[in-house]
Formats: sequence, structure tokens, C-alpha cells
Amino acid sequence: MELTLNPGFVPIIAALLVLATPRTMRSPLIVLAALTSFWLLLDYEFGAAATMAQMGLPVVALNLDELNRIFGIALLIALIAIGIYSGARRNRYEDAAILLLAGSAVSALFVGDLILLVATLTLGGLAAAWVVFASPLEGAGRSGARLLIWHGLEGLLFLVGVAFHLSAGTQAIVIARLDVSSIGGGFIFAALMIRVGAPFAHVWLKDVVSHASSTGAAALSVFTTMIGVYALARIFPSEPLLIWIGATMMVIGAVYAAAEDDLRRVAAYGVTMQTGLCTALIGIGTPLALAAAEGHAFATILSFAAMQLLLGGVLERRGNVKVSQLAGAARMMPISLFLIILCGLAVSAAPGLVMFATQSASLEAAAQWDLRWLWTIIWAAPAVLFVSLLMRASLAAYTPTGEVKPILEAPFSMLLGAGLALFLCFAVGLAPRWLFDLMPAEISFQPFVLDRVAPQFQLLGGAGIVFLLLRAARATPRERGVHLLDIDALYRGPLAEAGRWAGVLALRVYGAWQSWTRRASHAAGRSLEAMANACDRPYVGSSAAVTFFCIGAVVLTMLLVR
Amino acid sequence: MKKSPPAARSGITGLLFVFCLTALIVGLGFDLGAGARLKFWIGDQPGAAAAIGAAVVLFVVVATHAARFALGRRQKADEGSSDGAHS
Repeated sequence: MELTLNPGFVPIIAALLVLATPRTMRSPLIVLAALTSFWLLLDYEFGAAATMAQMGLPVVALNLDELNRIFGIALLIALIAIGIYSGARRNRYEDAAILLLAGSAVSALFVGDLILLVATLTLGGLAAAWVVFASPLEGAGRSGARLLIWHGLEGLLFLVGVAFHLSAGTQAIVIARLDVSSIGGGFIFAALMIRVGAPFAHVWLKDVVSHASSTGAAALSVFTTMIGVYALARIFPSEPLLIWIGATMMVIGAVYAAAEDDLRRVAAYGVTMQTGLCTALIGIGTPLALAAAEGHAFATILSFAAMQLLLGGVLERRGNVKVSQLAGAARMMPISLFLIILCGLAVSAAPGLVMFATQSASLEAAAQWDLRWLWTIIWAAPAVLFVSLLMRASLAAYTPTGEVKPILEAPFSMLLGAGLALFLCFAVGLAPRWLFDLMPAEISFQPFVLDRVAPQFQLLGGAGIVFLLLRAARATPRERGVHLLDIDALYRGPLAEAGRWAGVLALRVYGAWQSWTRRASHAAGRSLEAMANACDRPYVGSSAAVTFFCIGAVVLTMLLVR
Repeated sequence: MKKSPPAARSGITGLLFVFCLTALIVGLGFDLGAGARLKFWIGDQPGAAAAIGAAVVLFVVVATHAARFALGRRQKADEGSSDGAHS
């Protein structure tokens, strides 16, 4: 039997090696693992590799096609950029965790059966929590524990869904389209909703991104939710429910991205917006919509990886990336801030960058009369990110503080890694045909036509002008340190408090029960002891007449029996 | 009495204004110059993108005010990446 290596296994093996590798070699090892994995991916031909039977179930370790190839290319490019970026700091555990996370994400793309999919997603969940635990930032431990709970819940739902699905027969284990109305499909759908960060489950991403290290935040932005998008495209294409869920994710992401103070959280909510867009497009389900979803996931991975990497550089030097405390940053880190502005253009789908090409395809796919509300939301999304990530950040960072600080740029390898991701945003954006040729459906789509470029210029220009005018009129909110409550405030506030009280109550009830059983057992013991004593000396406490009567009765009985 | 020196300016507001104004004029010019086209609804008509951009900014400003009023909790100035109950 021919054993074919899943490209994702290479980073997993490298994750073990990196633990024993000296510091100077760790960054090259990450890049080498990504390049090897990339070579394997491009070397294989399309189709399922040999199927192995394990415990009567078909196990397909590799099933390559156009859909997972495009996701694999994006993730491995991001891993190369992160690998270069990670050369600037010393944390072998985080390096290993990032490799494990990337390896499990890439493996999940290429496996061909549900059992291995659950296994790789669960491994990815554990690795993501490890990435957060390895962060030196305050509160990372608790954030990692919350992520473990989310991923544990996701894994449980997935496993239950697969078990129900498996009851239909062993051949059902191969990954194929599922029906959300079946009980197995419903559980798997719920698990994927946690993975993509659907409404009510959207909080885990911003939580972990804001507590992860500079490198970890980029890895978490790239290797977590996008696997959910891939799985939805594979398992639940054309599911109408996804349109509503995706649109809600976009609106929630937009509101929080506009109001958040921490730029890393803004970027995390930006990822939620773009994931919502991909989810909605998968729900539309036409060939163009599915191709646009895959292309947009590719663009999101590159653009937001670059953004998180650059913000991580600022975090390394200044300790935070809050808009309210960003004044003077451009004087201290001129190259980083210039690259952040370019990256702001990338995430706002400015013409010439990769997200513009996929945004245009998304608009084309959603241009249906009954979906015009969704079309408007998709069109409005870049303007929200333009204002939230570019205008606010640049206006704050270029505000002079009066004090002269020496230039303290991010380390060279950080700039190089982020610059590579940003360069690819430009390169693919200027020649999007390369990306469209990778897609499963053949697209004869031209993004650089006047009908598409001119409205995008209008959108960004109009949004910027109105924002500046409102700012001049002091109508925009003042930038200040603020924490925004989200749905996690419910389970970290009242629900946590209720759980604490329930725990105290349960402990008290348990204590009372223990005390009562102790008293009851003592009383029973005393009674038994008294009874035993009574049997041991039956004459004690009784009168002589009773004793004489008893002995007489026994003698009489013996005589009668004889 | 000495006058206090004017606050230093970086000029970023002017640069952004010029950049956005150029984008708006170029976009509107090409869009309106291309003439009326048949699009699938009114939001796809020439010039509508600028209106959508302006509306989005109004939404952003209102949403920020509303979110910070309803959901915002003040953070101490010296607080770093703290992990408070609602962070």
C-alpha cells in the first residue's frame, strides 16, 4: 500500500524538531518546513491518495483538489512570512506551537475523511491554546483557558455529529456535502459556527488575538477561522442559513471594529467581518460565489497576516497598539507606520491590492435582486475598515507629542516578514489572474475595469472626506482608553458569578450531606454496638424471674423435641 | 505677555484629505463620465458609491458613540494589556 504524506504533517514534525533547535536555526527551520510543505502540495496530482482501513473505517490522509489547494497555498505563504518574522524573538515553545497550529490547519485542509478532520481540528485547537499560553502578555493564561473551552465545545459537537453521521454506514465517513437538517449535519454545522466565529461565538478570536504575542496574533488570525471557511465550503455549500449568519457577522464586526481602541482587536473584528463575507458567499452557493469566497479567504489571510505582523512590531516597541496611546508612534517607528498605512489600504480593498480583486468578485456574485441588502453590506465593509484601521490609526500615530524620542524601529526580521506578506498583497492584486486561475470554477472576471475601479475610489474617497470633515467639526468620538463589553461579558461576568455561587451552594449542600451522613453513621454504630452488647450479656438488665422463665422455656422445648 | 507657541502639526490630516479628495474626484469623474449604465438596482448607479461611503462613515460615528455609551467601560491611562472582567 502506498503511503502518501499529507503536506500538513511536515510542519507538525518540524514542531517537534524546533523544540531542540538553537535559536538562530528556529526561524530558518519554520521557513524550511513551510517550503517543504509547499513543494509537496505543488508536487502532488489532484485526487485522493490510497485509502487505508483502520478499525473498519476508511481513512483518507490526502485528498487534493482545487478547493483545498488554494487555501493551502495561502496558509503556507503566511507561514513563511511568520517564520521570517519570528526570528526576532526567543520563545521556542511559541515557535513549536505556531508550527503545530499551522501543520494541523494545513493537514485539516487535505484530509479526506471526517475522523481525521476532527482529529486535525482538535489538534489545531490545542495548538492555538498553546500559542496563547506561550504569550508573555498579562492575562494570556486565562485567555488560553477560555479558548480551550471554546475549542473543547467545538470538538465535542464535531465528534457527536460525526458519530451520528457514521451511524448511516462507514462510507459516510468520507467528507462530502451534508444536510444541516439531519442530526449529524446539525451538530457538525454548530461546531463549524464556533470555528468561524459566528454571532455569539465571535468573541474568542478578539480575545485570543489581543492576548497573544506579536507573532502569535498573526498565526491565530490566519490558521483558525479560515479553516472553518474551508470546511463550510466543502461540507455546507449553498446553505441559505449561512447568508444570514455571514451578514450578521459582518455587521457585528463592523460595529466593534469602528468603536474599539486596541488596533489588534480592530483587526480581529476585521477578520470576523471578512470571514462573515466568505460565509455569506458560501451560502449563496453559485460557482462564482464559491470561487469569490475562496479568493476572498486567500486575500484575507494575506492582508490580515500582514496587518497583525506590523501591529505586533509596534506592540514589541511600545507595549500596546491602542489608538488613544499611539501619538508620536510615527516619529518613533516611521517605516512600520508607513507599512501599516499601506496595509490599511490592503484591508480596505483599495484598487491594485489583492482584496480589491476578490471584493469585486464578491460584489458580482451577490448582485441579485433579492440579495441587494447583502450586496450593500459587502460594498460598505471596506469603508468601515478604511476608517477604522487606516484613518484612525494614521491620524493618531502622526499626532506630534512635543517630546523628542529616538527612532526605535521594529527588528529587521519583523519588518521583512510583514513586508513579504504586504508585497504579495500588491503582487497578487496587480496580477489577479494568477489567483483566479487557481480557483475551482473557471472565472472570466476582470476586476480592473472602469465600472469596478471608479466606484471603489469613490467609496474610499467619500468615506475619508466625510470622516475628516466630521473630525474637523469634532463630531467623531474622542479617542480614549475604553473596554467594550461583548457577549463574553455575559459568561465572564454574570454567568461566571452565577457559576461561582452555584459552586459555593453545591459545596455547602455537599458539606451538609457529609455532616448528616457522619452523624447518622455514628448513631447507627452506637445502636449496633448497644445491640451487640445486649446479645453478649443477655441477662444484664433483666430480672431473675425473666431469666428463670427463659431457661425454663428452653429446657421445656428440648424435652418436647426429644 | 508671551503667546504660547502653536501646537506642532504633522500635516497628516492635509495629506489624507488630498488623498481622499483625489480618489473621490477620480472615481466620480470616471463613473459619471462613463454615462448611464443599466445596473441591477439604484445602489449600483453612478455616484452611489460615494453616497454609500458617506453613509458608512455616519454609521461608524453613530455606532462608535452608541457602542461606547452602552458597552464602554473606561480604562485607566496606565493600564496596559490588562485582563479585567470585561476586557
